[in-house]
Amino acid sequence: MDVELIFKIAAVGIIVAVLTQLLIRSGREEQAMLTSLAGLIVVLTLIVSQISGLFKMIKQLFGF
Amino acid sequence: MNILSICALAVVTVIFIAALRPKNAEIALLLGVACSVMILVFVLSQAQSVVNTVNSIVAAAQISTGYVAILLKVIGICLVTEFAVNTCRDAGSQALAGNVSLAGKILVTVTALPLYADILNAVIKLLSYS
Repeated sequence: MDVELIFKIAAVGIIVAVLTQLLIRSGREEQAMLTSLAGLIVVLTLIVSQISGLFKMIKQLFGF
Repeated sequence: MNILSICALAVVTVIFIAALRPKNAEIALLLGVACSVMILVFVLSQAQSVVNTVNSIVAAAQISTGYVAILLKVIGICLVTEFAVNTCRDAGSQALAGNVSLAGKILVTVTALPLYADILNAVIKLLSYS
């Protein structure tokens, strides 16, 4: 469990935002949309394991 | 992990969220979720000692452990529900948050139902004594 995850997600968000703006300015709206979707999926894959770990911890702590 | 680190983490995350929200609202939301998950994991890894203490007190007082199991389960349901409700509210869908909160309340009642039955049985027993 480390704080680097927060910075990683923030970095992905900033990079995706910049790329989306660039692609929109150069007139490629579809690729901008796909880029933001790809960023969302990358961040989701980072987070899902953490959420699963949290739920597992609650499960074994409170005896579900 | 102490409270100072948790507060610092939350403030840093809020600054990132405020920077990201106008351009990329989805990832800002996910950043908030990640921070809350991290804080909860930090805190719950220390809550094991609380559960152990409660269990030892109950064992010393010779109360039935089934009641404490129900109590702990209800606390867990409340925790998970609160997490989901806060995330839904953060994303701006108030209706979903309200429904999840309702589901949590109903499930807490369902989980605590054996306790109600036991209380009712005790009352009936007392009434039959008098």
